[in-house]
Amino acid sequence: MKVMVPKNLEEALDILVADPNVKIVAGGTDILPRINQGFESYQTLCYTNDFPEMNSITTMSDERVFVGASIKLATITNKSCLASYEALVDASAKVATPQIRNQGTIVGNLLQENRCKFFNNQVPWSDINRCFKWGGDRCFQYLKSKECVALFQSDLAPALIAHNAMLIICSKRGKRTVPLQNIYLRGGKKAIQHDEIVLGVLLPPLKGIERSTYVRITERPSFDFPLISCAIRMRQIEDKITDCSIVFGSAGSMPAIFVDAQDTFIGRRIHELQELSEIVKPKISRLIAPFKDTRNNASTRRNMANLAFDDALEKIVNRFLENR
Amino acid sequence: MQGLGSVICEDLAINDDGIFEANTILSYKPLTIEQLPEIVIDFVETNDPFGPYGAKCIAEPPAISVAAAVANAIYDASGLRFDQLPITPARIQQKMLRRNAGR
Amino acid sequence: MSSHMFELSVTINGKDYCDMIPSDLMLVDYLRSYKYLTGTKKACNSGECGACTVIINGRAVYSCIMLAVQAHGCRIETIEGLSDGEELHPIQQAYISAGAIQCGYCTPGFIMSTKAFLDNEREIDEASIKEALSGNICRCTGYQQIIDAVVLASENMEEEK
Repeated sequence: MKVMVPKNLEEALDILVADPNVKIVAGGTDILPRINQGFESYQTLCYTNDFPEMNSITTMSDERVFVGASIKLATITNKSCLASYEALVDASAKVATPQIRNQGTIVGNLLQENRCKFFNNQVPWSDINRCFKWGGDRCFQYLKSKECVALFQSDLAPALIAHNAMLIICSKRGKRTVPLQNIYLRGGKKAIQHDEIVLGVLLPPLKGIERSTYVRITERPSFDFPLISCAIRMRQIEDKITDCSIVFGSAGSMPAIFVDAQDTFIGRRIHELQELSEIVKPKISRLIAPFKDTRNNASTRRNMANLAFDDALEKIVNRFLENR
Repeated sequence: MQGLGSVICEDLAINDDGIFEANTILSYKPLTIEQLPEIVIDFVETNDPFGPYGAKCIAEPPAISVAAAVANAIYDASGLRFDQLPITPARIQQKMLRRNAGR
Repeated sequence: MSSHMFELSVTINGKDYCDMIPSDLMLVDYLRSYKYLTGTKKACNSGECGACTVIINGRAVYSCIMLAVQAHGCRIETIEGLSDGEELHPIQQAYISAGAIQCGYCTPGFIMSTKAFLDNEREIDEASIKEALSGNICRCTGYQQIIDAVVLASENMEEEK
């Protein structure tokens, strides 16, 4: 395997154009374990790090905040200019372990490969009958599925979608800015062209009284990916909720936005939310894909999603109340 | 800690075809330092008829009895008996739902 | 078939090195096989156990899932850099005194995580120790003695200042 180490962004983009099979590596904490475990192999990797366009955190003149793609997760947790983006800080503080957070990057976390026990284990069935993710023609999670249903287990994605974050993506053809949730496609694919590099994340300015939170449910408090997670962000102006985002992570092959709850909460007051949530909670199960891992099944996942939602709602209500 | 891990977290999952499903450390889930509970160490004097001078080994047995102790604690709290390890929150929830549904 | 080579410049335990390495060499293999610094262990090889922990520019990372080229131009600290000749570092001494070493395989990783934690001088209490070491797994000790060792090390390092 060849690892190219371009000296700047232009050189990296040239490498991607020249070879359609090159894979980008940033922190390495997503792709290198899979290469070490033999799930994937590549002829060429392109290492992107320390390009000035991608390694800064800047508050712009219109108060939007740019977080460069190469910024490590540990840096995000401790940056004072990001402290008000509480869901982002909560999420980045709890990813995996301190060592992973020191090495993994924000965009690496957002673009990570989906995970499934039939793919991420070195088991013989992938030799005999390859599943979609292995390049084959079937799914072992649901035998009738026509596409891969591996779970997208990123922590930062639900938090940043709740924050209405955008991604800035560049290539030799120019730059484009897209809402983060539009990156995630069915089958675990991401809407990034091969010759593109994500420069960073753009966070909108906070308005009024804006609080957010992120809750994750895991088997162990470190190392593990979330079984289910829930990010909630709300904006309160003159005692009423004027804007609300609720996003579930590890819900399916992409984060799931809880539109029913969002619509129900807008225009209401903080102290009404927990009672109102009982009306919308039955709709959570539609958002949570049934998915088997070694310890959980569809019904436990739905129950966990309810718990994560309750927990996140309680946390954010408390955050609003402590403001007064 | 190995005993506690065997009952709350560690799952050497084998599927119906006899294939290991938990063959990475990440999926086997040994306990981490954050899961260390308060451990109080005490000694019970016994007289083992087979051991030299009545002694019993001290290393392996505690790992076994932890699982039984935790399973009994879960029974005391919930009235549910488990005969398979690990006893995860998900499994407790499933059993509870089945019991509440009258099955 | 010849490998694609990269000229790597690093500082390991205070000494500068410059080596031609295959560009796809992992950091743990560079340290163990090229520099013969075999204190850093390769156990799971997938960032799931922490035995390979080293410190890069003051931050603990898993060397088994890091390419050597990612450490180009960086300061690397490994377990071999802790002791001063025959004299052990206070952290190493504390691990011995507290009985925190049984088979010893996780120990270099734990000691490097401990050093990265104590060097940053944050709040040192049981909760923050547990969080700092949450990326290292030990099967032998059950962790209690390791926590005691970190507390002991921080006290001894305070005294030395």
